[in-house]
Amino acid sequence: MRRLGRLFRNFFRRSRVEKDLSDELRGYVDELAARKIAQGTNADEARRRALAEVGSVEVLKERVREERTGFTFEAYVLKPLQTAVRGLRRSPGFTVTAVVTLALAIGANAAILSIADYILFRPLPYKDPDSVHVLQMRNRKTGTLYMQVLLQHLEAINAIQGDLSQTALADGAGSIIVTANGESTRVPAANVTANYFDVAGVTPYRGRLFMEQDAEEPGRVAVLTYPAWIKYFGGDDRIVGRPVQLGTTSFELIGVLPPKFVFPSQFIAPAEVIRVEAAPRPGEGGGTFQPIIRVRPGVTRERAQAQIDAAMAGLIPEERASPALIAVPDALYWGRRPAVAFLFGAAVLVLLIGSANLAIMLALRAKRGAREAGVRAALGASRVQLALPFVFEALMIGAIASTLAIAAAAASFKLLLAQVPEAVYINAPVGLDLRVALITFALGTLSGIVFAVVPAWRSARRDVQTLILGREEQVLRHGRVGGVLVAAQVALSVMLVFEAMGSARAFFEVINESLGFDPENVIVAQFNLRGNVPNLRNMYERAALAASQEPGVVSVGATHQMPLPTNGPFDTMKRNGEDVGGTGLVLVLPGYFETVQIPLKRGRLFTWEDLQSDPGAAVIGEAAARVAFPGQDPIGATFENSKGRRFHIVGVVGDTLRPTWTEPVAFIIGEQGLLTLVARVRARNESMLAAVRQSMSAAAPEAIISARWFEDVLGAQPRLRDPRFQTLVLGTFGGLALGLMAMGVFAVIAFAVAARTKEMGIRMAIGATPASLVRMMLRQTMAPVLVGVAAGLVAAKWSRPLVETYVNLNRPVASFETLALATAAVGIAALIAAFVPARRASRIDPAITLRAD
Amino acid sequence: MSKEKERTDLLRGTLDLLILRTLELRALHGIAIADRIRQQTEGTFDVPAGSLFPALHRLDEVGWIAGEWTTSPEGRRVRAYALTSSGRKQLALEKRQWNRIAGAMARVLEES
Repeated sequence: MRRLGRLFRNFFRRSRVEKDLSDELRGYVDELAARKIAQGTNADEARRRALAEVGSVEVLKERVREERTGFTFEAYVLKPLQTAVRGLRRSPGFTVTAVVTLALAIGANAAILSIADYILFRPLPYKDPDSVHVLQMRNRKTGTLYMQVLLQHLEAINAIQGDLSQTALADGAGSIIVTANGESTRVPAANVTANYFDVAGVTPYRGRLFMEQDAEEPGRVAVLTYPAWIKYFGGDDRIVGRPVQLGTTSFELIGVLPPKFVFPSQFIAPAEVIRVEAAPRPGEGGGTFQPIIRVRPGVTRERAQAQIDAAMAGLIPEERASPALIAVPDALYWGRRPAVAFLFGAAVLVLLIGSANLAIMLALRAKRGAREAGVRAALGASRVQLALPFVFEALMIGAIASTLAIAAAAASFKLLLAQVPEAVYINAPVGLDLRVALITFALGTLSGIVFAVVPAWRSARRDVQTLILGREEQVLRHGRVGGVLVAAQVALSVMLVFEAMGSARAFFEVINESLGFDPENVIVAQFNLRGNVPNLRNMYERAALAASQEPGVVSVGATHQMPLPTNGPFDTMKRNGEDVGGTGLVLVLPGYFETVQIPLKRGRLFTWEDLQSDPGAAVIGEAAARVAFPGQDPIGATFENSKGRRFHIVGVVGDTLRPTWTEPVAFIIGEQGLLTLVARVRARNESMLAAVRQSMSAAAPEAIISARWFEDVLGAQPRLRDPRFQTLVLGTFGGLALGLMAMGVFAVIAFAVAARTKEMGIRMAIGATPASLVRMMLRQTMAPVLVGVAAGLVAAKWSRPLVETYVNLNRPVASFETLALATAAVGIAALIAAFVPARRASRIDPAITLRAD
Repeated sequence: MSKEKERTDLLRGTLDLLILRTLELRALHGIAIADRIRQQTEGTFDVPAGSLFPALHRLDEVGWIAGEWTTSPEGRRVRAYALTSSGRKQLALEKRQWNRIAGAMARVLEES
């Protein structure tokens, strides 16, 4: 109790305590002096002797203070904190620069970390996620993966006894109209087998998930993802177990998936409504299954794959493609994990550069604060006490900067996310959460502490005299530390700018790459049937006719699959019952090639009469012609689709943009299933879009039609968005790196000029010209810059394979040009940053300078 | 290090005991305490300000003595320290301990 009272008194009535102490000691000295006077010494002498006997009153006071309750906290926390706050407030320029520097560096990390966290580090929300794998087909020749797992393969795999425990299937099911609160929305859907969520190991958030009985009568029950439940039903608990209108049918909504659930495949991942379907029976259907397999606990993917290979080897010896087990994150973020890791690495580089800046600034600041530290040392402060304010300054800078960075990242996160390649990254429930915020905060404060250690240690080591008087050689030594840091910054900047430029090149190459068609002024209309339509062809013909009669429409066509980099072929091409190099088939209706302007190379295009012909008509791409008919004239040749229907080839067209993971395509005529109508108009304007959509809707009332510009659809594709995103991120990082590096160079030179003012004054007095002084300063700083550039070039050369793989999307980098450009950019930025403060040297007036000290 | 610390602790303890004992009869201020210790020990212990004031404040912080502003017989405004009740208990305790140690030391020294 008494202790607490003392603590209270010592902290809150401090001035009173201090005054008491002063009075007490003064009384002591007075009395001592009075005695000496009484002994016959004169007053002044008596006082002098009394003081000499006591020694330094300040040191004595400090020793008394050490006895006080709470002294440790006060001396080692409160006081240095106050000194640090005072120091930061006294030099707002330094504080703001340091905080902004660090905040930028940390902000870059926070943003990337929040994406990387999900894609790289966080386990997927399945039970025992390492035991769940995705089954895809790997082309044995090219190594490419695709989704079409053949049923006979699946059966062979299901027959394996032992390490594989369960297989479940999922399939993208296009989209479905959800009617909620009187509003109809088109929602991406998926079908799964009843055991799917069991195999994945997912527990429902609300209600229940599918059971075997549900599959016996499919089309009765449905499950929603959490986001869909929130979006369309406002997270209403009462909706669970109630009927909802999906398309034309009423489904019972039996449950909601947990918030963080993600389908283990990027193609089903967007699905929001999930229906159940019966597992296909032997000999029935092909389709694009996306099976997942759970292996028994402890079984590695390699071991399971070996068993699958063994089963395949016996059953389908001559097959070109074989099933492959893929880790879920690899399937989900398809090739993007290394790219994200790369971006994350780049963000760490930015943090390093920012930290080097902070280190430079803190070191220079410690030098400036040396005099004050000297005075405090003379007043009895211990070395630890001298060093502590630096640590607290850095800590505060780190804390403020990371708070700012988190706030800024949170505020701008939506913006960043808008640029994130949807089809790939959006699958991750990316967001700025507490975890990321905490890591960011730790990152900021940690870098603060690390870089405070050097200046703190230095200030603690020096003796009082050096501190107060200052020494030239110490200035020079600080210059050397600055030089090393600048060299490191320059090296890292060269690397980052090189990466950014590599990415930018890839982006422009993609933009300029030949699509094989012309998306300009093309409207893409998608049909969603309101109910069962007995004669689909008739509906499309009506809609196409109506659209073509709209003034301004040049031509109209239809296809099953737009030439998008994410769209795979619909069917496969076979000759004499055998797959032709995995060549894919795409269904189109007449007018399609003319509308998207895929050029005819040989033969002719489709006409409406071709729809009646038997065998059906086909038009193949040039690449497909090379693969399927090497050295032959394909015109007039025949082939079959997977169901054995025969086609004869009437023409050859130019190749179009296609997914990197598919084979060349051929086009067959037909109208089976859902189609996309395309219409070319004379000029792009929004009223045209509305007019075309309305005329189609009027002609085809059995469908809900959504229309967009092909260019917009294409622009949203990952093939374009990925490099755009990377360029955006790396460009920002490169810019940050340049700016931070320039700040570092500026700080070092500005300090060197200030510290050597006297020397410059003397040099000028003995005849140095201002220009020669500027040159001297520049020479001195350009040395570390050159060292840095050299190191950066070596690092960039070393990182080139990484850049080519992850940033440049497997395009060879014309690395010499890019590297030269990056080096030039960094060099020029450093030169400008050095020149501005160096010029101050020329303005030194020797008369004033020499008088100053 | 620990040896050193023990020795200073012993010395500090001795000074504390001397101060507590000095204040047993009446409250005194800083310089008067030093005077009294010097007189009583016939000059063996000359307590300088650098040891005296930290010790006084230490004893004050733990509550064995309490400082109070008063006027000295010479008419000065001084901070006089008085023994508190817990200080009295502490003094008794330390006296016993000291006597035990001193007795033991004396016996050892007489034997040789």
